[in-house]
Amino acid sequence: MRRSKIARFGSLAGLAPVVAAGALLLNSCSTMDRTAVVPLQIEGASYVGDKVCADCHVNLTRAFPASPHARLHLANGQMAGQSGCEACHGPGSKHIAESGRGGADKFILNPGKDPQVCCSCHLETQAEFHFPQHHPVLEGKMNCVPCHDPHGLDILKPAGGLAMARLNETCAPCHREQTRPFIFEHPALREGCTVCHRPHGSINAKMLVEPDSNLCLRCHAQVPEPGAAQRVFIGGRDHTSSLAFGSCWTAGCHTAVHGSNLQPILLY
Amino acid sequence: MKQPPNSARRIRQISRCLLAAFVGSQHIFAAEADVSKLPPAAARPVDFARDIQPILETSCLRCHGPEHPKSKFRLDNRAAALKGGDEGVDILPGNSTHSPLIHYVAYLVGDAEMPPLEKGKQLTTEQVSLLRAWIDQGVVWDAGSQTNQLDFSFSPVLGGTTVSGDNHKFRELNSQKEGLNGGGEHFELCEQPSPDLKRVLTGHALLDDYLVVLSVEQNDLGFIHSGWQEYRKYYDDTGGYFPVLNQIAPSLGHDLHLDIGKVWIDSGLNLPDWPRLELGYEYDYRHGDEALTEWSTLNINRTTARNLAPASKSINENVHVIKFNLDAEIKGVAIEERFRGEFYQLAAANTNVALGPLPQSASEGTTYFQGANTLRLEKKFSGWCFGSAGYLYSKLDADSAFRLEAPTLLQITTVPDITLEKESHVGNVNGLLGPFAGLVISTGAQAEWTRQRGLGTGIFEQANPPPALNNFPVPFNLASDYDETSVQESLAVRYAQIPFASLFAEARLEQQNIAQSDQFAAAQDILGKAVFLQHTAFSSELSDFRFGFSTSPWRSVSFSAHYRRHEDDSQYASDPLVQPTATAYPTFIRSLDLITDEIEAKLVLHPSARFKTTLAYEYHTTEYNMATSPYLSFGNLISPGGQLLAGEDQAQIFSLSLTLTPLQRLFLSATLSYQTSTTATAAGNSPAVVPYRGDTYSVLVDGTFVLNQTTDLFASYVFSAANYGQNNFAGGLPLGIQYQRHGVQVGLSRKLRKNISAKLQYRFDCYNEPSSGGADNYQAHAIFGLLTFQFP
Repeated sequence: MRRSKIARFGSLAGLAPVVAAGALLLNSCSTMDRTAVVPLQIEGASYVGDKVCADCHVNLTRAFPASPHARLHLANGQMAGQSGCEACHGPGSKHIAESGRGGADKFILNPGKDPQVCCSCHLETQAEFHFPQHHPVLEGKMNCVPCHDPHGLDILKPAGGLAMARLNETCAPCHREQTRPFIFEHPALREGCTVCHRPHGSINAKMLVEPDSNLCLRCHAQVPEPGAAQRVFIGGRDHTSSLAFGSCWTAGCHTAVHGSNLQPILLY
Repeated sequence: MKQPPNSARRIRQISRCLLAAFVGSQHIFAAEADVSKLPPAAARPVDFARDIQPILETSCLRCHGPEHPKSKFRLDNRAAALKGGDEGVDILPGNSTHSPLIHYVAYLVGDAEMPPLEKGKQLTTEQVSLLRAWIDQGVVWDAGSQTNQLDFSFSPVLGGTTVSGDNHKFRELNSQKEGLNGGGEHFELCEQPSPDLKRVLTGHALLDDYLVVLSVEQNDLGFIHSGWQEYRKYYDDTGGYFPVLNQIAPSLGHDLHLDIGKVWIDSGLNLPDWPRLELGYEYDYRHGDEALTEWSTLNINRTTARNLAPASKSINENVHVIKFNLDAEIKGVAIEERFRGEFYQLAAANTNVALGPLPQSASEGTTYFQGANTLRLEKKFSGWCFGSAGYLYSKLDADSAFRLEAPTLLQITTVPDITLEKESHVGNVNGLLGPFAGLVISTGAQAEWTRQRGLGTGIFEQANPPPALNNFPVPFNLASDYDETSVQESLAVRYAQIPFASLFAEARLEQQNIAQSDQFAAAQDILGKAVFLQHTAFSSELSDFRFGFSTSPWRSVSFSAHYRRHEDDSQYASDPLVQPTATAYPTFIRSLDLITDEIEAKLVLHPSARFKTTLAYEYHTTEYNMATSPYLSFGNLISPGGQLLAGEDQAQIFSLSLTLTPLQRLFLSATLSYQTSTTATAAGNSPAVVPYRGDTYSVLVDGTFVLNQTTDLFASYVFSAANYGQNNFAGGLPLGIQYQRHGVQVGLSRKLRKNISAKLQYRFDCYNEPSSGGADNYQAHAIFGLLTFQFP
């Protein structure tokens, strides 16, 4: 049964190139000047260099040399458009030419609106956005900018002064339920949300780094007593049988993982 | 126009005074320039659209357009052009000889040549002659060339999806429901009645997915940005899977989803010579039910019990946000003021009553107000020195209530009165120096103080069966106190003077101290493990070092790489735990040292305009080193304490992307990613905790072929898979996931008429998850048709 499904799928997947090849043959003799639209290219535009961008976008370029993205900057690199403003925004000549006519936005790449620009370099992130659990960036429900400031000093925080403090402020504006204060907080939040969650996408529910007890046991461990190597002691209590039920939070125990208003060991 | 230097400006002012008495204020600039050097005006009648507009667009409008015009001089419409800018009137209709604009473009005024050589080519003699003629002939501005446009596009879509298998999983992974779907995939109405006024209405309206954005912008006046967005996030309702006990993972049989949305309106003033002011309001909400991973057991036999029964949580979250922003520049200092006030309300309840024999329900409500304000200053002191400083203050006041019911155990715990306070002060300074011969140095320091208080009073009720009247309530108090101080320092150096290459090195250090106390006070020990008092002094030293390089020695090759080491060493100094029994939270951890090493490398090959490929490699490893105290319980040694490698993560990621245009009519792209990772913990000796280990694969392929003048064919294929299934059935619940997912899409788009195009697409989705016993498997077929109307 499964093989037949795979076979059907394979034949379906194989159909596309056959159709394309047939179409190619059928049209090979036609005279046509249309060309395929290549994503992230601005047709007819050429590279102008960072200084030209700085003329108008002073607020973005002022601190950019201190940005992590400036690590890639090459003052005399040979490959055009591989660093600097135009590495992310595309060649700027047509944008500049149109700037006086109100149509400049149509001739510049805006990673804030189209995450494909960021994905073209951050290949591993693009793959993570295709994992079963992911932030809905490619679906257009959000983009990279609410979490990242591509021009500022810290690319792991959103732009603007309100994010200057508080480690998890990147996540807090949307995930207030998890980042609100509790009487007994989980100290892991001091290390940041990304200790337990993959921010772009994960194969695991809730975008967890791992779905099992290994996630917690990396930090919650105790040297076992001699002769009890196969038993797991945490806080002096033998957790061996509890761990068999599931992970630390799915086993019905430490369910208040972000914080508890009842118990310091995050029980509800 | 570009501002001339002070000397030239002063001469101009004196000349203006002297000449005004003789020739009138409209002709004051004539004395500065040697007009004899001007080329003669063109003799023929000038056509604005043919002769003048191309010159303005090519050489002037980049700086003197409607948005942020230099010297406040605009050349995008006649009224603004004649009005002039900071330097006065630049165009004198009928008198090109004395029009300063002509002097600038003819390069007769030193340091005020237009366009400046670094920004554009000098106008030719013929172009200057045409401009002269245009001014002499009355500065005729073709009304037809003015921006006055109305653009409209609308894309209705209709289609349907059939799903065989777990339709809930389909909804979760595809963010849509099966069955008929349709609406407006995209609509946009853009009106620009004048160069300064723009109104845009855009968005989409599909089933459970809405976006409407209205924007009105008036140059030199202000703007209103408003909108509404709502989409539905679906959750699968399946629990865990344990092949020894159940042949298929149990499901709740509920349609779990959250409606996530926001409404916003931001309005602001953007007046010339005024600070930019913005006042906004936003309402964020999440309503519905989400799936939890906090499952419950299906039986109470401790030998075979595995927590498999799914659970859900109802959420009603509402947030009202007030925003105020101010941006100004005073004497070269850029000032940024931001205020944000949040009124937060949450009512949530989670339960596992549906399937488990040990049901438990928890409900809680929280309201808070949080105000946060920042003030940031930035100044460029010179061409090589830039500095900034900022200060943030935030305060949060919250009230919460909590109720926990365990009906089988006849226990009810309520904490109706919880107050939480949090206050933070943060300040930072940053500097950027350079470049000095290719060297750029950036540095910064930030200090933070945060204090948090938590108080709660509650009652624990235990009923003795039967009868239920014998319950005895036990009141209790909760308290926590948290004081944090931290200092962070950073330094980054970049050097770009090496041919075709640049080097960088960065360091970030942080020192953090926290004084913390936690207390659960009650007349007797309740909830099995509650009563305690604990003081902890926490300190940590964080260091983060990174260095690397980037190079592009040839036009077709670029390569970059870096190494990073991150270490976070935390120390816990706890007072002896005060507790009546040995069941409270123990403080056995003395230190925790996280060490991360990271290597990343990326190679980009771009041998021709038709082919580009990127290869990337990442290696990450993190060690979790602990030191624990000896631990005794009732005089028995439980743990001897000492050093312990508690855990170790390792991951490698290989990525490859290709873009190829073998024919002008064919575009192909592919991205492949392979990741392999392992997490092993000290507890791995137990059969219940096997190392988390596996691989993930991702393939994304898409292509477009231009069939003829009106028709394009497109196809894409998406594949992802993971094999983290763990064979620990005997010792515990296997939780690692194994799945394969395929998605194929083919279609065509065709331009039917000048303003109408159509798109037809078919999609096939297939998801198999052996680690859920097949409970989550599905296959889906979807066909959608879309029309796009575009005017003009």
